[in-house]
Order: sequence, then structure tokens, then C-alpha cells
Amino acid sequence: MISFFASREQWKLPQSTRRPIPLMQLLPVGLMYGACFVALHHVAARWAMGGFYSLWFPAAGFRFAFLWRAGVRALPIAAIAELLLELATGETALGRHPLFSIAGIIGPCLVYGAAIYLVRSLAGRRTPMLRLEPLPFALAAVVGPVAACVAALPWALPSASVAGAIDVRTLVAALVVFVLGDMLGVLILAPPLIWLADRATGCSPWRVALPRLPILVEVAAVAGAAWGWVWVMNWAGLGLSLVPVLLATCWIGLRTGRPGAWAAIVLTAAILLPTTAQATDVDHRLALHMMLACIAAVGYLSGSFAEADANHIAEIARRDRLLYQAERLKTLRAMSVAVIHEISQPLSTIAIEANHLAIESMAPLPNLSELAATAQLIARKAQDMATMVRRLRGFGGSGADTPTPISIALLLTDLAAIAEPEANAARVALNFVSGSDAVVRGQDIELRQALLNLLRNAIAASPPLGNVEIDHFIVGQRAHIAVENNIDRMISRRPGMGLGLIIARSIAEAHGGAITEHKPSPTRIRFVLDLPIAGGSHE
Amino acid sequence: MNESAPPALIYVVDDDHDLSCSLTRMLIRTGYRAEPFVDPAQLLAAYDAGPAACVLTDVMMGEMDGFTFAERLRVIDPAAALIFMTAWPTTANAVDAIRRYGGVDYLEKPVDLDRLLAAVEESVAWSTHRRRQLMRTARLSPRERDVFRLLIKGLSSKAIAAELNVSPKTVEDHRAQISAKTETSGLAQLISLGEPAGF
Repeated sequence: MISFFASREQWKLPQSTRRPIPLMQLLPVGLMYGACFVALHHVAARWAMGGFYSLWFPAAGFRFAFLWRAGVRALPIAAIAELLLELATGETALGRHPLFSIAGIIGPCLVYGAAIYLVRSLAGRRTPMLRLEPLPFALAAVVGPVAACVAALPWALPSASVAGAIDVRTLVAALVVFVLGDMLGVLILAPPLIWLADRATGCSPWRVALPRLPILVEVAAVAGAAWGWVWVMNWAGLGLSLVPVLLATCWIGLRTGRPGAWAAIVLTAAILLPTTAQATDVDHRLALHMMLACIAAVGYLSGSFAEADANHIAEIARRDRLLYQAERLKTLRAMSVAVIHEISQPLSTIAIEANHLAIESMAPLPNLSELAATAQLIARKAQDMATMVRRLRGFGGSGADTPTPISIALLLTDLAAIAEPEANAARVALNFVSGSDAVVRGQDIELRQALLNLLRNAIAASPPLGNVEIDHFIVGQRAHIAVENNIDRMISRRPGMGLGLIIARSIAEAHGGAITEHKPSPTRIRFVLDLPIAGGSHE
Repeated sequence: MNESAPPALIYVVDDDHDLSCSLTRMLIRTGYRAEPFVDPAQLLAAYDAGPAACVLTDVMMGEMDGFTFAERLRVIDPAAALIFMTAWPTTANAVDAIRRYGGVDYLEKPVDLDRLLAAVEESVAWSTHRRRQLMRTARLSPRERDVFRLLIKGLSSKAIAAELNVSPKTVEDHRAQISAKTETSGLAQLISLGEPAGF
């Protein structure tokens, strides 16, 4: 569904977050941070509305990006730099209550740092999904401003008191504007700053994957429809309601991840902020701006959730591949045991007989008929080994991954040799019933794996001294291989059996076949693998 | 090898017929009597007719593996030496082969012939010695066996007399009989006889 995602690596936390800032860089970093922060604060003052903070407070976004990238270790530098430069430049004055003013300057910075730290360390304790990148960033970006607002309440009270009485309306309005300004500042400015910082420091490549055209068309249509409806309602005199935009932004976030969500948020802010800045009705303006902050939070969370979900799916797929490889290794190991066993036998015979031949041929009166018999035995054993090597060559050769015609009867003969030691160890008898042979097209080693998994499951599920019956037959244009066994109720399921069956099924499906489960009697179970016949049936 | 005694009998058990026959012929050429078996169950069925000095057996076989076979053979004949062969040697199996199943050697395939012959020679010597020990204790009467068991535990004649509720003189008589029948002269030799005989 999602196509606009940057790769996992693009969004992972940069290494720098785990390294403290070197001592020599403390001063320049602090100065630069403080200068940028004060400059953004100053810019924001141009559209400030009453109370303490402006509607869009980009300085909060810069602070959040800095703390997110540099880590909580940089928190004291950021707080001190903010305090000193704010006071030095006169951006904030100490006023009647110097201590409250100081707390008012460094308080939000400390709360942001704490929020980032807590989200990073606690997110996902109960719900592992929340631990997946980039959800922690989105959570911290929403939680940080709200926490800063709650923490600001004590030192906001004196500023809001006029002649000993607190003007509740002014206080609440100031706090709401504080949260809205910070949240918009963080969600609009922090993501591109971090994006740029990651690329400037080489943590991520500059290349950006654009979404597929149909998705671009879809999200453009959704955004257009939402804004169209907002305009129609406004034109019809029903007022400015942003609910359609909220839904559209959520949709865009789910479809395109964070980049699309961010673009939608910026677009909404760019349309709404200038058009409402001059509105005189404070209540109406606050309601609209709260909706804007909601759109930003929901949009960014949905975009992050979609990316985290895609990362999660990719991670599961990666683990599936690892498990599949582990299963394949297990098969190869079982095969190598069988191969070594098969080769050691004739090799032992050849060694003994060749030694005898060497000694006998040096005798003064060699027994010629015995020499001939020994030589013939050696030749026969060498021939057996050559046949075996030719068959084995099929696995390792370049053609191992291309489909080849495979005889079912031959496949089962080989399988018997591989599975026999495991069956013996479990004291289960394997009974191969010969039937009419068929040739299927496929990858030899994978079909072996599928059948071996079925056999292993049957051996594991059988009671001791039980028997597993393997037969093969043809139905129409399909070859069937059935594995049937008694069920031991005490051990009918063992770890790994489910995985073995899933792998066998996926191999069967990749070959145009299927695995079906039958119960011929209450105490017996039968798995049938059917595959399309390639070269037609022959007896 | 002792020229006067008949050659020692060796059984070769391997589910590969050609290999068991090759090993058998090689052992015969070396001077032993040898017989090949493809199925360990057949050998167990026929074993009483001719106890062997040594059984050379494969570990990975069809119906019955080499270790199960070894356990059953030990019940029939505690004096037959065992040599295991395997194409897939593992440390755990090697330790089991020697410690648990009393094998003389654990050989990997393809078989090193010199080592195999050395193991067979050692097996024959071990089996001959053990059979002689078993024969000597087999001649003891039930009462003499009781006295023998207590003697090799380290009890004095007096203590044995008290334990068996007989007079010390009777115990002394039994001791003389035991020494004569087992052809031993002293406690140390008796103790060395006691362990293989299962006392």
C-alpha cells in the first residue's frame, strides 16, 4: 500500500544521538543553537497574538529537532543557551517575577527533553508496535508540547494575575495558544530539519523515492475534494469547517507515510494561518487553530503509523526468509549425512579390496580368478559411486535453481535414505508403497524439502513403534504423494511442526500444487501433496 | 596368535552386503575365522551356535542400530568384544560406544585397515581373557559364590562366618575350595576375577 516510504535506514536514529557532544564544541554548538532559537522566536513575534506565544512557534520545532538529534545529553546546553541568549537579546525580560520568568524560559526545554527521553525509553513496553520507527518521533512530537503546557501552568499563573485576581479566560487562552503554537512548530519544522540534518551528516542518502503515480493522483484527488468541500460550505455561508481536511490528511498519511502527511499539514497551515491571522473573533480563531493542530497531530501520527506498519511487515518477511533458510540448511545437513553414509560404504569396500589386490598381485603364484573377482567388485563399487555423484551434481550445479523434470519415484527413493535415520531414532517405521511413477517439473531441492517436512512432522507425531506410510499415485493430470501416520494424542503437536507445514505449503504452491489434510480415521492423519504432471504419466 | 588354538571367530555386521563380505574376506586372509551378516537380528538368532571373540558392527543400520544390537548381544554373551564402525562419527556416539556399550574401538568409515586389525587383535585378547575368567568363577557352588562375594567386598573370614551364620572353619574350607577352583592365590587375584563375573 505504502510506496512513498524512505527505507528503514533513512529514518533510523543517527549514531550522533548516542554520543555526547565533545567538550570543545560545547560553546559553539550552544551559541549556534541559542542564536537560531532566539532568531526564530523573534520571527514568531511578528504574528504573535496576545498571551505568551505566537500561533505558529517555529522555535519549538527547532528545539525539538535539536534535542531529538543531539540526544538528552545536550539538554543542559540547550536550556542554558536559550536562557542566556533570550535575556541577552532582550527577547524575554525578567519582569516582576525573575524566578518565574527564568522557569518560563528553560521549563519547556527541560520538559521537551524529558518527553523525548521517556518516549524513547518507555514506548513499546506494553505495545511493541509503538517501538517501531518512526512512531516514537511522532509520539514525542505530540506529547512534548502538551507536557510543556501542563508544566507551564504554575509559572503562568502570576503573569495571568491582574491585581491579585486570575483572569481564567486569558490564562486558558494563553495555554491553548502555547500548545497549538508549539505543536505546529514541532510538526511543521522538526521533520524537515531532521531530514536535512540526517542527509547533511551522511546518516541517510539524499535520494528520495517518489510515490507511484496512481497514489499521487489518489491523494491529490482526496485533498482536492476535501478543500473543495470546505470552500463550498464556507461559500454557502455555513462557516469554515476543517473536518473534511482532517479526514483527508489522515488518509494521505496512511497512504503515503510521513512525507505526504507533512506536505498536507504544511498546505493546511499555509492556507489557514494567513487567512485567519486577522480574524477578530478570538473564540472562532482558537477553534480553527485547534483543528489545525489536530490535523497536524493526526496526519503525522497516521503517516508514522503507516511507515511503522510497513517496517513491521518488512521485518516479519525478513525473519520468514531467515527461518526458511534455516529449514533449508537442516535439509542439507540431513542430505549430507545420507550422502556421506552412502559414499563411505562403497569407499570402504574399495579400500579393502584394492589393498588385497595390491598384496595378492605381488604373490609368486597369484590366484587369478580371485584377482579378477576383486577387480570386478572394485569396478562395480566405483560405478555405484559415479552414479551417486552424477545425481548429487544436480543439487550444487548452476541448474540447481532452474526447474527440472523430477521423477516422483526417484525423489521418494532418495527421501527414504534421508529420512531413515531420523525415523530410526524416533523408533518409527517408514513404509514406502510403490505406485505409478510420474514426472513433475520443479526445483528438486525444494520439493525434497517440502516432502521431508511432511515426513518429519509425521515421524514427530507418530507414537513410538508407529509407522508412517508414504504412497504416490496419479489422479488426472496431477501426481499425488500421500504421507499418512497414526496420531499420538499426547504428542500430536510439537514445536516446529507448524513452520514445517507452512514451508511445505509455500513450496507446493510455488510449484502449482497444494497440500491437503485428511482424516481417514480418528486415529490416523494423511497429508497429500499434489503437483501438476509435466511430462505425462508413465508406468 | 596362538598356533595351537583354533583361529578366533569374528562376526561382521553391516547392512551393506558387499562391505560386510569384503571385511570378512580380509579378516579370513589375516588368519581369523569370520562370517558376514547383513541383519543384526539374524546374528542374534544364530549366535548361541557359535559365540564369537569379536563382533564388528556398523552403527547406522536399517531396523536395528548398532547400539541396540550391542545391548542385546551383551545379554547373550558378556565375553564378546565389540568394535563399532560408522560413516557419521559424533563425539556423543563415540563416548557411548566405549563407556556405555563397552566397545573396544569406534572406527570411522572409510575404515583404516591397520587400526581395524589392531582393534580386532586387542578384542580377541580381551575376549579370551574374559572368557577364561568367567569359566573359573562358573565352577563355584552357590555357597562358595556367597563367600566369594563377601570376600571381594573385603570382609574377614570371621565377619563372613557371622554374616552367613556358619562357623569360621566352614568359611576357611570354602576359601580353600574357591582358591583351588579359580586357580588364584590371594585376595587381589580374587577381586580381579569378581568384577567381570558380575559379582
